[in-house]
Amino acid sequence: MRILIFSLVILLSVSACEEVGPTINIIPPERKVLVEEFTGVQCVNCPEGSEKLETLLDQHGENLIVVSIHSGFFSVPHATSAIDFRTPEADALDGFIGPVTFYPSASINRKLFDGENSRLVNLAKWAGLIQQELAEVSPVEMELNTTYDASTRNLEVSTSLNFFEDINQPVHISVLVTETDVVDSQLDLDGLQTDYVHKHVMRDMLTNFDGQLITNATIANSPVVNNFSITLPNEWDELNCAVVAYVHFVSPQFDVLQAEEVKILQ
Amino acid sequence: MNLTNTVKTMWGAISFCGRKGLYILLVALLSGPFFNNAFAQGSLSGGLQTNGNFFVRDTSIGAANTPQYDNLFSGYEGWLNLNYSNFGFDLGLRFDFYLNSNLPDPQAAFTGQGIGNWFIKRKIHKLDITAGHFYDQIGSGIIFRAYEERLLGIDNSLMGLRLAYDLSDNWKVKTMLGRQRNPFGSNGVVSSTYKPIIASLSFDGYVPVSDDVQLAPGGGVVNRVLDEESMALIVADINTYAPIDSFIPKYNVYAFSLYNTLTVKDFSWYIEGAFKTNEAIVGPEGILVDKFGSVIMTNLSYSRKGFGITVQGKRVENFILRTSPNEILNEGVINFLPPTARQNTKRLAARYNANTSELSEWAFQVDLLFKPAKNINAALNFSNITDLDGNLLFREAFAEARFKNLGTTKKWTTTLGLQYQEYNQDFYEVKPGVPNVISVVPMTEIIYKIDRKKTIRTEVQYQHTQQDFGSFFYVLGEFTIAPSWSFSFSNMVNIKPRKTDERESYYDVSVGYTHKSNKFTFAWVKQIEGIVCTGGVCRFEPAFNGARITLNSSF
Repeated sequence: MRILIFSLVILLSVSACEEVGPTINIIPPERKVLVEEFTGVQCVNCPEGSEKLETLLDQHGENLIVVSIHSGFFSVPHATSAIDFRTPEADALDGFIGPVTFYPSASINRKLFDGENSRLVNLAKWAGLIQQELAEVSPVEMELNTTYDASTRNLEVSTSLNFFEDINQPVHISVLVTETDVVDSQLDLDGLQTDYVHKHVMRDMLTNFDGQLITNATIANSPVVNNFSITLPNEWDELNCAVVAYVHFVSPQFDVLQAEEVKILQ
Repeated sequence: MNLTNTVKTMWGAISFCGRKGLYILLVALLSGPFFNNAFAQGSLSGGLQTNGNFFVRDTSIGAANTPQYDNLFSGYEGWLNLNYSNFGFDLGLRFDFYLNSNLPDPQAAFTGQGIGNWFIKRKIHKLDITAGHFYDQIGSGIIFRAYEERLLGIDNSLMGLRLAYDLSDNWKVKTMLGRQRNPFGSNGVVSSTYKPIIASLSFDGYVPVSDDVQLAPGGGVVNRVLDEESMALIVADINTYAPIDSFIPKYNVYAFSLYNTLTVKDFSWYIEGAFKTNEAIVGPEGILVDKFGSVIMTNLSYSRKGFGITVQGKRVENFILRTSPNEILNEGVINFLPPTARQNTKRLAARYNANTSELSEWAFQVDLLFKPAKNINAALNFSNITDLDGNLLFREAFAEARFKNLGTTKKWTTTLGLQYQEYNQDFYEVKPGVPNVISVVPMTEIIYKIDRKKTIRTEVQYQHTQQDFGSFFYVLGEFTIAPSWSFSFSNMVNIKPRKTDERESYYDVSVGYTHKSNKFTFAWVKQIEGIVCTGGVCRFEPAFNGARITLNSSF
């Protein structure tokens, strides 16, 4: 009898002690928006686009990431140009996202928006579409870390991704270096400016222009880590350089799912 | 099924099912019980136009770096029109197709196909009803013009309902409601529409005051209402402005126009005044501004046998009218502001053109046609265009004399012409700091009729300019054997190049063959590139090198 009573007490104790756990709300990661602006030193209207992007950066802060890609006919350097901002990757991106048919134009998270026939939209629509994209939820969280060795000018980049849902199509990651506050020639509505300050110029990519395949089918909550490296050319001022990484599809969708940016020297 | 019921059924299907209704109607027409007799009584007509472009890379002239030159190598576009009339109905259908076409955008490849245009039209007593896509204009088009220039990629038909009612023999009132077609929508859709709504009401009349005096008055109003999505983009954009530039945009814009043609014997005087209420437009600084717009345009002409003179004047201020200010280039344009300058057709004389400046323009033109002798037709033209601050935008003086059947033979027709132009390239092409192009073009055309069927035509032109690309020489030879064959060769040579080290030739060789209502042409073309910057946007029109094949057919 004692044994029976003891057993019942133990059983009741155990059931009474069953813990009611806290409610776990998985908060989706904050969405950052990537703007890839196609520009050129020969394009008179492009400084206006750059100015608009600076205003938008002031509004949205770190949630907005801008990359200025110099490509196409309008990016041919002037006789007074010290730097040729064109790169093979810029030309490839021109065809990959575009083709770019007017300047200034930009892709907002590489999305084909309702009613548009191109992923590249004109300046008047940038602010609204950025706002629209900022309201979206991202399925992936990204951590971006860099290690820079000033003596060798070697830059190590590490990306850590955590997906919040399964994605049944190939997902790529692209990594690139931008340099800002580069003083060089630019045409604007007042003529040739030899001391124009170029912002967020894409200098090189650490991946192929269409990124590096992460996985063909992503499984939720399975962290993915990737490492990249580059040696910065002496012409680049590392104080003004930043690394931009973004996770995206390649085809038939091209949408950017998440982006991150860190300065090389904090 | 009697005819009345059939018609009611068809109208019902169309009203409730939209385009599906049209398919039902076509199926009914082609397979209905009355097909054998009723269908046979109707009339079917149509036409086919197709173009094939074959791209051959030539980096020396910049014919490169577009998808067509890099890897696609060809592009096609075509339009098949079908029009059918029966039971008092007019039905129209147009199948559009674009396969890697660079027509919508010279630097891109567009692929899409489908029904680009359809309509059903019926006149019921004094009421003319059109449902579907339609083209129309109010007055000279200043507040509304829906038209098609398919080879320029323009097709801004209105998709909706058009009602025109004859108040009397001389007075008509008309309303149009709908949304503008977006001919090259996303994912290859050729029949999408812009979201904002366009509604109009207009009237046209005719008043015969006496045998010698007539009036043709008219007027209209157009209302465009923005959709929420377009407004959200505008608001977000204005939110980036400094407080001094910020304003509250409006969903509605109203454009009003009044016009009249007064005819007194050999004189004719047309005047049109239009204004539009405040709305967000892209201003000269490239940002949205809240502006009121106005246009006044007048033509005074006098003509009698062997003599005609027309004097034109136009003032334009902030008269941009689009489906929304978010659209650029050719997108969503609701109206048309006619240019006040000569429309040149000769190759070198037509290199620099003055499109109407929607923000600020004062334009004046005189056109004179006369016959100084029996076999001579002469033309003089002068135009002068400035902005509202008096800065010169465009000036042209043109003289031409056409000598027909001179001498002892009636086989020769000779035309001599001279053109002088000043063209503000900085303004029209947004090329800051470049000087005005000053161009002088002497030109001649000689036509020699070998016999009743064979004709030779030659053109020689020289463009002297020290600006832009420099001077050009152009020659054309054309041999026609009526009614079937034509052969032509032309060459445009940058004889004094300013942008390249070498003289570049832009030639064109073509053969045309016509058999009954089918016309085939084959051409090998090398065409110069150009940059067009308008409304704060620059677009590069690439050079072309390759073959062009066209087929035009009608039935």
